[in-house]
Amino acid sequence: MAIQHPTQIIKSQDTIVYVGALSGATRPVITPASAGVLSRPTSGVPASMYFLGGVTNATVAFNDGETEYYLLGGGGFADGVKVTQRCQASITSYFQKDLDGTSIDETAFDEAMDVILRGRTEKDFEIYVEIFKFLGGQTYDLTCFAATVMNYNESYPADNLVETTFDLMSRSTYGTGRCTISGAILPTAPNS
Amino acid sequence: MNILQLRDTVSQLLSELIGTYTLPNNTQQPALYVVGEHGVPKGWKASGLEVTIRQYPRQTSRPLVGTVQINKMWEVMLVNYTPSSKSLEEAILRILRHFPDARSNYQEYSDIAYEQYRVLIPDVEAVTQYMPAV
Repeated sequence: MAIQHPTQIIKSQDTIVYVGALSGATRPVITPASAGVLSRPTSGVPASMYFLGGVTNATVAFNDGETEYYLLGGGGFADGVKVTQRCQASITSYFQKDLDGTSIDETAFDEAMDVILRGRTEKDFEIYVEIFKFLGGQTYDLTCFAATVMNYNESYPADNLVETTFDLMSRSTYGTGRCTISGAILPTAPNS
Repeated sequence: MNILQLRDTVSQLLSELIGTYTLPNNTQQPALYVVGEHGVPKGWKASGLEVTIRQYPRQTSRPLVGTVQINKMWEVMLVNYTPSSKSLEEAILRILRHFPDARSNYQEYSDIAYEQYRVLIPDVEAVTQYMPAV
């Protein structure tokens, strides 16, 4: 009987979302994965990437636009071709002030939150998103894309924390696949 | 929030309502004490409203995506050693108005205990995961 070992299952705690602001129209150069293996983009990537802390839920969806066709004389069975591909990350997070080291900066938002909040009003503002799932050793499942912030929403439950939800909608090429990365990805200190 | 910030906040909130400790050498000081490494010394006699704050909050956690939510629960005890005083009523009102998400438990005066409130103040922070040194 086949057994699925508990450590086969990847926990959400070992997943992390990084965001960084893109300047102007420059987007990172992303080469789609080949046979499931992705190279982490290096060109055009923001110099500062910040992890999204306080994320209570994240959903990543790959949505394909398809055009359907059928062959005359083929019995009427439908075939299709994907004409567009888009990645959408829907995030739920706490609204946060800035923490530098151990001191709170009352005048600023957390760096990652600040990047997201710019998307509330700057309609042409784009960010770069990296989502890592830790597989072990130096291997991660990486999804990366340039994105725009859409559908930003805040809720104020009076007896709890301010929650934000937003969608990161990909622009242009996205990459997803297994990736080898040296160095730790899970953060060990606040964004700075 | 840390224990110093909580102590200062409670001290400012309750200011003139806080009772007094009379020490064995008859000197007096405000009856506000942080209970943790040390409890209130045995020889200290409290009168009026005594306020004690537990130095170490109870902590529970909730996993977040890539980080951890730590839910701290600070405990403040308000004990009225002078039954005729209305300080306790005013003190709990000030605390609950300042910490709207606090929970309070009232215990009335009896043969074995003075009238008192136990207040639990939640304090949430999102922190990075702690990894063992490799």
